[in-house]
Amino acid sequence: MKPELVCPAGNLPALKAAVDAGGDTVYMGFRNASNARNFEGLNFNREEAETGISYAHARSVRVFVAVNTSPRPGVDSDWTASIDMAAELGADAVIVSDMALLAYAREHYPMLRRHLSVQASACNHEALNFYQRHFDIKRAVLPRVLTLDAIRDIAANTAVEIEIFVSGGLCVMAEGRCWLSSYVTGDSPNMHGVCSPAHAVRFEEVDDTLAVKLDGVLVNRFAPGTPAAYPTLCKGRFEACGKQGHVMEDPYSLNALDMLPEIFAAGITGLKIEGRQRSKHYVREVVSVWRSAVDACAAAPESYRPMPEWMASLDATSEGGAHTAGAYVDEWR
Amino acid sequence: MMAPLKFLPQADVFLRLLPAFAQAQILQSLIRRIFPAAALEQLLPLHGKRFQFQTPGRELCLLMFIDSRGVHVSHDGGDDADVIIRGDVAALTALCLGLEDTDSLFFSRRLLLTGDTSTGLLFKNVLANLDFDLRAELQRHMGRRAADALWRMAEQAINMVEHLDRRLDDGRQSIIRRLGLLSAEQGQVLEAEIHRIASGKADSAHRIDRRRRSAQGMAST
Repeated sequence: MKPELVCPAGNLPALKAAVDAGGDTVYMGFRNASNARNFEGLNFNREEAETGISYAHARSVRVFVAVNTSPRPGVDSDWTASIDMAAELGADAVIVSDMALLAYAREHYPMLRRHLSVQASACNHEALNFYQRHFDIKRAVLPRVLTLDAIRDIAANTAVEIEIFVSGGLCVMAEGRCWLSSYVTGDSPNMHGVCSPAHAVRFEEVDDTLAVKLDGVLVNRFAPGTPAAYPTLCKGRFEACGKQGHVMEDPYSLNALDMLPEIFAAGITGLKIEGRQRSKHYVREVVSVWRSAVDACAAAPESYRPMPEWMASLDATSEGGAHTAGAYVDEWR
Repeated sequence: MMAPLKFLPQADVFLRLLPAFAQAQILQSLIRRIFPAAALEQLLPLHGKRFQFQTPGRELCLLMFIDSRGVHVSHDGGDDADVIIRGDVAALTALCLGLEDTDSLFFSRRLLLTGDTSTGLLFKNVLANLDFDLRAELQRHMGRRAADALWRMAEQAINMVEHLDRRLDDGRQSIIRRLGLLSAEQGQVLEAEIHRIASGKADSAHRIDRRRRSAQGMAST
């Protein structure tokens, strides 16, 4: 079976670009802290979401809504209201990590599909089966810490549909468990939907060298002419053991085009493209490449080879200008 | 249809032939035009904020100010701006019109944002949400036939420039091969700089020399 291409949309133009470029499904979030891309001006208000869902449904494209951060005590109404709105607007699924929200969604909207977010950090089939028994989840997005062998094993031992990331930005991949940025900025992706919140980021240029600071802490410096990267702590360059470099993570992007036949054979339902923070141009370009690749692999998996221009196109728009297969081909350390 | 994002980088070559005041007029006109009345509500969080757009040599320095009456643009230097966005005319135009992927412009260092990053990010995302359609705007202002004719001419010009680019790229590869004794780090810096020049961002060979000296200095420290 051909896996479904699940595409990012951070605003209405990007949603339309994803649909028009051949996405099977678009995922989005609302403009509050209830999702893991809570950046200033990004995401959808009610009116935009309604327009976007109508646009997608009119073209037989499904829409998933991410409500995948943890509600903060005392202000949890933003999170339940987001579940309510997704259901009212006719979303095809909600992507949730918090157990209380999964319970809320199941109790109030039993017909609304519940997908387990990558933020739940479920890394084995027993965890998925637990979520299925208690919250009737239909699909799980697996964290990017697993090898393809491990993913294949999980898929073989659960009835829960499996979705994996195949393209886009990478972090240290401890999704749902990463508090790194909170040590410097006070905010974390798990609770606030952002690492490196913009209020803490400062770019400074002296003599063509670009310095990036988080709450006054220097995390990176880019020499003249060299490409810049997102201002995240995990991709900062530090001195350790007498050497300077990327101690935690290189600023490369995930690209699993090489592995598509193995991914097809592993029984995976959804191929997810990261990038809700990116523009419609990025979305259109990346979704077009992946649409071509998935169709080519489905037509002839034995002879499938990624086209050089697909790789070049993805690299040209990616952070770091280079790609990696991440943990899929090696044990995550 | 050729995507406008392929058009703008080459447009810089032509824009650079214009005097600074003419470049300023074009950018000023574009900034004023991209915010339709309907977008003013989206700009509410930016009220009172001052944005400065400048080219690397400050040949062009525009101040944009947003309030309840709309978007105001002036030649005032705006040194106390909340956000300073620096880039060549093509990159600034691409940002304002939403014609290229903004993150890619920042990754490639064609755009630099300093000052209040929150306000800058909000501005970027508000622009991205406007869904400006350059061809439709041209049709609205010039009429469909004239706009389509202009578009076709632009496409032909782009094809010509891209052909020249490919020839330039062949020459670039030849130079890199000849400089095979350079260290990987020096080669990377030089490659990046030559790419910037090939993209129409720099206009003379002395900049290559400057970067080479910089790369050699960096490697020797």
